[in-house]
Amino acid sequence: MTWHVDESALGRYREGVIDRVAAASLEAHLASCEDCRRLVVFDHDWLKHSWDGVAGRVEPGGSGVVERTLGRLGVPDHVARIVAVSPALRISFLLAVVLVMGFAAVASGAHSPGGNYRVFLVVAPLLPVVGVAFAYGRLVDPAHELTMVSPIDSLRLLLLRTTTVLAVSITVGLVAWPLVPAPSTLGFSAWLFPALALTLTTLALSSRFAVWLAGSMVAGGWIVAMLFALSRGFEAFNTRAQIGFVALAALATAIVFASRHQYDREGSPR
Amino acid sequence: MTVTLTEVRKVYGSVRALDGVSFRLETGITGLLGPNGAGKTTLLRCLATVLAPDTGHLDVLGLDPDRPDQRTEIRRQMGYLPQEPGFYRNFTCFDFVDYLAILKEHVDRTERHAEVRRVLELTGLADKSTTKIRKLSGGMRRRLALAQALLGSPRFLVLDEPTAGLDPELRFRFRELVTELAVDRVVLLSTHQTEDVSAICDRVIVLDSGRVRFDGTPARLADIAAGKVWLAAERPASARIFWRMASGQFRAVGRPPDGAEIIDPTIEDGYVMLVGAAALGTETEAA
Repeated sequence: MTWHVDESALGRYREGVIDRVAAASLEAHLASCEDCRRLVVFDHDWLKHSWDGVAGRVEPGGSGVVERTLGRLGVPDHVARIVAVSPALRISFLLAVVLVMGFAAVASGAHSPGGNYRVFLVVAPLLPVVGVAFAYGRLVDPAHELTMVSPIDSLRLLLLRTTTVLAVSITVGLVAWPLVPAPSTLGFSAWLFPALALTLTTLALSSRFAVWLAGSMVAGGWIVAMLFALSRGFEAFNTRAQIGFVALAALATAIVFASRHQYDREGSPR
Repeated sequence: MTVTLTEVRKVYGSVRALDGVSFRLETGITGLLGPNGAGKTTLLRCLATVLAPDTGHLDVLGLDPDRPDQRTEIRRQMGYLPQEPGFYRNFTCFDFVDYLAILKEHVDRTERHAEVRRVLELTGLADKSTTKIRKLSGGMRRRLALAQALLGSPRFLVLDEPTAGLDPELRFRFRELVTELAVDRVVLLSTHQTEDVSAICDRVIVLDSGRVRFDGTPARLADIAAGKVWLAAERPASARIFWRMASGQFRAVGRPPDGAEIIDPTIEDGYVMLVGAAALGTETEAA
């Protein structure tokens, strides 16, 4: 080292009035000269905060497609991370939703005219139920136990993931619905209300059973009920039936609210 | 700062995992020993608020885990390392701990990242921040699980087999870290490593068949085998357990024959006497 920083340059640097070129030159020297570094007085807290800020910008995290998309939609980064981690958001689930909805839509049109549109109406409401069953719980989430003992409300976590699953399923369903040769009297609410009712019923049962088990019970019950109804010629998707699904959804919501503290611990609550 | 259990019971079908467990933990490290199936993990899961006991009462840092609001507060003040923590294998170490930091209410990104770096540094994983979890060895994953337990400097640490799979150097480092932390925290450490208990625990609790069989200092646990550990040149017939050492002699624990070369017991010897007696249904002085 043949030169050191002179006092006047150092003084201007400390006061922040030195020009940028001289500052860059001085900093390059400081990086390699411990003697001169000792002369620069700085606030340790400020320095730590600055470094944390830099590290926060350059460190990994939030780089997935889902997180980036949610970020662009204005969702805070910590919420985006919670949603993106959902096991139900794996590519395999998204593909399954698209394929099953597509298959159901095609199958619905296969016997037109008159149409077998009910295939879609039976299958479509099941997809969010399956998605929720794979969104939360010990069997599907490897870090479930760590998640459970965190202070975040488990029901909130489950609802966040359920909302994500519903958003994906409903979007795909809306895209597929025009392909279904349903009578003009039936709107997309014909499958949307059952989907909401079944999903909320799954959540309600999850206060007592594992989510996957609750989902299986609801899906099984739905299939049996639909086979029975359709074989007897009952109309399961008309306006009256839809009012019934809305009522079921409301009842399930009330149960979820009443049981809100039973989602975050195993064992029978006393 | 205390954690108290009073007559805690938990039954799975016909198995009594916990059968009236009572004790009080204070600042410092308490080791929890016991054979497989003794109820250690069930006990730790109850303390960690994962599992609700069937009956009995828990008081964790003055809070009642049966009350939802207080349960949340306990979780804010607790770090938990489960026996088999699961991981998102495609996450990097940093992302995994960062995710759990979010769940622990570290919302501010800059502060959260600083905290994640701190715990990764503490557990010697700073240089693995960007490594995918699927590429980590078992020991590194254990350290990663420990790192998440240390997020937010919890006042109560529940550690289930924290040193399983760690090499000796890392185990020493773990001891150093936990003893530093335990100065002003309650630490409950379940382990099969009696060396860890000897090295760092102020107190040891032995659980067997869901009951507390021993509660005292490691020295007192070792004392259970005082006068019952000896060296023998031949295979000892009266020993409860014995093994051949590198020297060729047999180290035996049990009822020594007359004139046996008695040696100082370790806590492992005391543990063998205690739990062995329970298993055989025979009396020991300590039981």
